[in-house]
Amino acid sequence: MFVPGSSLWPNIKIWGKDSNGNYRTTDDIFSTTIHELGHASHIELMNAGLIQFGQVSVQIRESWANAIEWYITKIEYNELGFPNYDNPYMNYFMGDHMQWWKKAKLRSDYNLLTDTQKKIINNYTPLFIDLVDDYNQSVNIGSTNYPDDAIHAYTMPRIENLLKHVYGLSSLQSKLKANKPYGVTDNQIDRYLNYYFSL
Amino acid sequence: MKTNIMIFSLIFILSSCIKEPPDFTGKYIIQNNSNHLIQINLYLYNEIKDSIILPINNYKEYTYSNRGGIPEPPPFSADSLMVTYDDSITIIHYKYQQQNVSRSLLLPSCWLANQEKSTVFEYKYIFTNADYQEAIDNHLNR
Repeated sequence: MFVPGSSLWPNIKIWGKDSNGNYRTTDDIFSTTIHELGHASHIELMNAGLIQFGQVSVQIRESWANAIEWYITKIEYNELGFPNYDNPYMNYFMGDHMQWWKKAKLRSDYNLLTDTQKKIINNYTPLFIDLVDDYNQSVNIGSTNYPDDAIHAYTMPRIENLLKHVYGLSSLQSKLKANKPYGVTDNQIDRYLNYYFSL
Repeated sequence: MKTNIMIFSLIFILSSCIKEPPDFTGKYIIQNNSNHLIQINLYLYNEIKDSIILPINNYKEYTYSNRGGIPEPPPFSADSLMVTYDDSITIIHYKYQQQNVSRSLLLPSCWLANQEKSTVFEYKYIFTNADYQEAIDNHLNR
C-alpha cells in the first residue's frame, strides 16, 4: 500500500532465503525482522535524525540491533511455549544470545577471514546483550578469550534511554557510568569495555 | 542548483541505507575414518548432554548461519567428552583441563578449517586409526 508522505520504497526488506539459496527458518526470519526494526527504532531514538544516526559507529548500531533481536525473539518464543529457546546455559554454541562470539583476532580461523569479515565479526557483537543477561561466557565457557561480563543489572529500557547520546565506545563508557544501576561499579564497566577497546 | 540538490538528496538517501552482510555459514563435520565404531558422550557441568554415534566411514554434520559471524568448533556445548571405541576402549577429551589426547575435539585449533565459499566455512575433525591407537596406549597406561 502506498501511503502519501511516506517513502516510495519499503524501508525494510527481509529475504526468505539465505545467501546459499536455502529457505530460512521462521524464527530466523522473525529475529532478522526484529533486528531491522531495531535499526528503525534507533533512528527514531536519535530524533529521526539520519545525520545523527549516520555518526553512530557500525559496532554500536549492529550490537544494539543484535540486543533487540535477542531480547524480543526470546520473549516471543518463550511465550509460544519454548521455555529454553536461546538459553545459553542449555547451548552456548549457537543462538541470538551470541555467547559464542569472540573478537576476530582471537579466532582460530583468523587467517581465513578477509579484512571485511574481520570487521563484520567485530561489529556484530553481544556488547549490549552482555549488560543485561546473567551469563558470563568468560566464566561459564571457561576462557578469557570471551568477554568477561560480570555486569547484568542493566535493562533494555535503561540502555535505550542512554543510547540517544552514544556514538561510539567512549561515549558509551561515560553514559554507562553516569547511568549505572545499583551494585555496578565503574571498575566493572571499564573491565568489561576493555575487551571491546582492544578489538 | 535544482540538479545539485537532487543529486545530494539521492546520495544522502542511498548512503543512509543499512545493508546487512550476507550470512556467514559454518559447516562442522565429525568424520570417522578409523576402523572402529565410535560413540561420543558430551558432558557439560558434570551432566551428560548428548551422545553421538559414528559408524565406520560415517560422519555427522552440523550447520549454523549468522550474519554476524559463526561460532568456532566444536558445534556443541560441552566442557568434556568421552570417546568410546567398539563399546570398550575409552578416552576423555577436555576443553581446558590438561589432557591425554593429542587432538581434543573440544579445541577449535584441533579442527581443520577451510573456506568453501567466501561466506561458507567448513570445519572438520577426522577420527583415524592413530586416534584409536592413542586411546589403547592411554588405556594400558592407566
